[in-house]
This record gives sequence, C-alpha cells and structure tokens, in this order.
Amino acid sequence: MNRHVLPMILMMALGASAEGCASFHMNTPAGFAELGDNDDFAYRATNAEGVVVAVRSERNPLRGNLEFWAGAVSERLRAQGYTADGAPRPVQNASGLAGTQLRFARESNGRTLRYWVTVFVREGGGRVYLVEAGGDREVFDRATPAVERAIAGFST
Amino acid sequence: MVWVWMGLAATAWSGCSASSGAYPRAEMAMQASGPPPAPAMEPAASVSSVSSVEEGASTGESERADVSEQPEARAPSAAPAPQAPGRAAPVRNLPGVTRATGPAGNTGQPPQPAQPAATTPAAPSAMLIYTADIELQTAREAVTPTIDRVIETATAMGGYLLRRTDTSVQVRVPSARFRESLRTVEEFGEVLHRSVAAQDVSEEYRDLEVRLQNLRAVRRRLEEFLARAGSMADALQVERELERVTREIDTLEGRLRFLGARVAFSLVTVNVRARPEGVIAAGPPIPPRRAIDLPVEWFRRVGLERLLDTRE
Repeated sequence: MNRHVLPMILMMALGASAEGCASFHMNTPAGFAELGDNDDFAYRATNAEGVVVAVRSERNPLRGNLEFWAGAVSERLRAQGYTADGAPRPVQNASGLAGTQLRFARESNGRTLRYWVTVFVREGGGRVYLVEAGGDREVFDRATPAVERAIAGFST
Repeated sequence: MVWVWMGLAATAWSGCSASSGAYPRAEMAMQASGPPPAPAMEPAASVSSVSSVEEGASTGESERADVSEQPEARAPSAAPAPQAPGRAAPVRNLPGVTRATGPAGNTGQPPQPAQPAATTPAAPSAMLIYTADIELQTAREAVTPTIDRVIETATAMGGYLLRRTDTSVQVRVPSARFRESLRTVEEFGEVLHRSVAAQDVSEEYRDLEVRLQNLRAVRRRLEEFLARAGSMADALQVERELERVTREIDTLEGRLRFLGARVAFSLVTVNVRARPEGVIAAGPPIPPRRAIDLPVEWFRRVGLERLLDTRE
C-alpha cells in the first residue's frame, strides 16, 4: 500500500509544481473588467469600448524558442491578411523575461482594427505566453497607454 | 406708285425665296414694267437642285464624307483652282471671307457635291470643312508634353488653340496645312485611331451668295423707289421694306463669314492616352501565400476573431 501511495503523492506534487510554473500575473488596466473563464485564454479583460486584453498560457510541445514562436505567429497572421504595423519590438516583462511584441492592423468591414501580440517563451521552452490586445483603431489608440502598462506589468 | 408696289411685291417674294433659279422671273417682271434691269447675275442653279441644298442646310449637314482609319486614302482635296494649291480665293462681294481650295497638296480630284451635272453651273472651288480626330498613345510622363507639342504645331502653322484638357486638345489649323498638321501630330506617339471627315458646304455657300446678291439688287431698287417716292406714306412703306431687306442681308453675310471661317480653318482633335505600364501576360492567378501550420491546436486560434469574441 505504501509503495503505491508514495509515487502518487510525488506525482501530485510534481503536477502542482508544473501548474505553478504556468502561473502568471496580469494587472487589469484601469477602465477594464475581467471576463470569465475561456477555453482559449487564461486571462481576458475588456473595456467599455470593446478593447480587449488577454493572455494565452500554452504548452510548448515543439520546444520552440522565442524566435520560433514570434516568427510562426507573425507568418500565420500575415497569411491571414494582417498587416504588420512596424517591425517586431523586443520587450521585457516585469519579471525580466524577454519577449517580442508584434503589432498588426487589419481591415474588417471597412474599419481598421489593431492587434498586438506579445510573445514570451519560458526558459527551457516549457511554456508559451501570448499577451494579446486588440480593438477598433480609434478606441484602441485611446486605450493604448493602459494596454501598454498592462503588458509591462505582466509577470510569470 | 405702281413701280413701288411692284417693287415691294418683288422684294417680298425674293426675300422669301432661296431659289436663285426663280430670280430671273422676278427680274423679267420688273423689266416688263419699266424699271432698270438688275445687275448681271451668276448663272443660277435649278429649282430642284437648290431645294436639295436647303434640305441639307436645314439638317446642318450638306454632304459629309467620313474616312475613318484611312485619312490619306480618302482625304479630300479641292478642285483644281486658278490659285496655287492650298491658297484661298476671295469670295465676291464679301471682303474678308475666303474660299478655301482644300488641304495642301490638292493634286487629286475633289469629291463633287451631289448635284446633277446638268444643273450645276461652272462650279467654284469646293467649300469643305475638315475635321480630324486622332488618338495617340505615349508614355505616361509624355502625355502633357505631347499636348503641348500639338498646340505648338498648330500655332506655328498659323492655327490656334480651341480647347485643352489633361488628356486631349482641340486646335484649328489653316485648311491649307491640314494634312501636314496631321502628319506632324501622328509622329508624336503611337496612333491608336484616326478619322478624317469633310463636310461639303459648297451648295449652301453658293445658295447664300445668290440670295445675298438678289437681296442687294432689291435693296438698290428700293433705294431708287425711295428717291422717287411721291408721298410720305409711300416713303415710309419703302423704308420699312428697306430695313427688313438690310437685316436679312446682314444675316446672310454673317452666315457666309461663319462658313468661310470654318472652311479656312480645320478642326483637329487629339486625345492622348498613357501607355499601360507593367502589364503582365495573363496567366493563372497566383495562389495566396501558404499559411504556416503546426500540429498545435492553440496556434491555429491566434487572432482577433477569438480575442474580440467576448460572448463566451
């Protein structure tokens, strides 16, 4: 009995440890309200004008590094009709993790939308974090300072 | 008094009639009554031929020859005239109005007006109004300079600018240099289209001349009647008729001057089109760039659609 219980306790402890590694901290920007759980996003908040900030916390089965994931996301979005709004920007989160911020624009029903994706990859390639922000250009531009502060405060 | 009334009747009749062929009858009537004979007249056309001219004039076109695409082959020229080719001859009784003898290089036979030879008097030079339309294609940056060159060519030949837009220009050139101007303009670019037309207004012009001469003769006789008027009432009546005849003379002179000017200067319209650039041979459309795909579910869901769908 004891021989079976001990490994189970060890596995539960390891699982809890792994879950702890997937945790992150995100400050909800002023004027934003946090949305409930979602299959895609570990965190998501929106303001009254529809600007949304969200965090994906995903496994990294391919063990790709930051360059890989930033490049792959950029290519996929471009192929889907997104237009790069400037070159990729190197960023660093509040806990010192390096990341790459991709800024895009996209036309939809005659309006221009902004879409920012900031990619972080945990050391060792264990986890990929995507901090996403988007919305109608006019309202997004007004919310930009709050969005930038939220991204800068993201920590793992 | 009898002379006065007969004269007025003849005046009214002559003023209403465009038929030069009818004039001698009126003159015969006048001669039978005693007044002095009218001045010698130009041989008159038959009534039937004149009426056909009037029909043409009423529609604004006497005779029109369209020689699209082959202006050189059918570009009309005037009949051999006493003057040098391309020179204009003055029209009798109308100082300032000239009768053009056609484009330069009048070596061919002119298109004759549609009149039976038997009823046509010794025809003067053909009165032709030439118009040309040319469509050129040049490099995009050469469109404006080409229009400038067309204007310069026209003015150098004694013509003038009529209208200009960003891609077209209308100029008038002396008819004597019409063909030369076309040759010059066609060297400014690739000719996509050209058409040359000649409108023959000879019959209308001759008819106007005859009517004018008739009216002048009537005016002279009215002036004589006025000098011999026995009473104030007669004098006033003759003066009124004299005024009416004079107005009609002015109208005819104006129309003759207009036709003369149109004949003397040909209209050239040039449209300049920019050559299409970067034309790629037609082929199957290039397929859109292949999007990267990975065996990672979340990767396929990255994008605005998921982010902004806040209903879930």
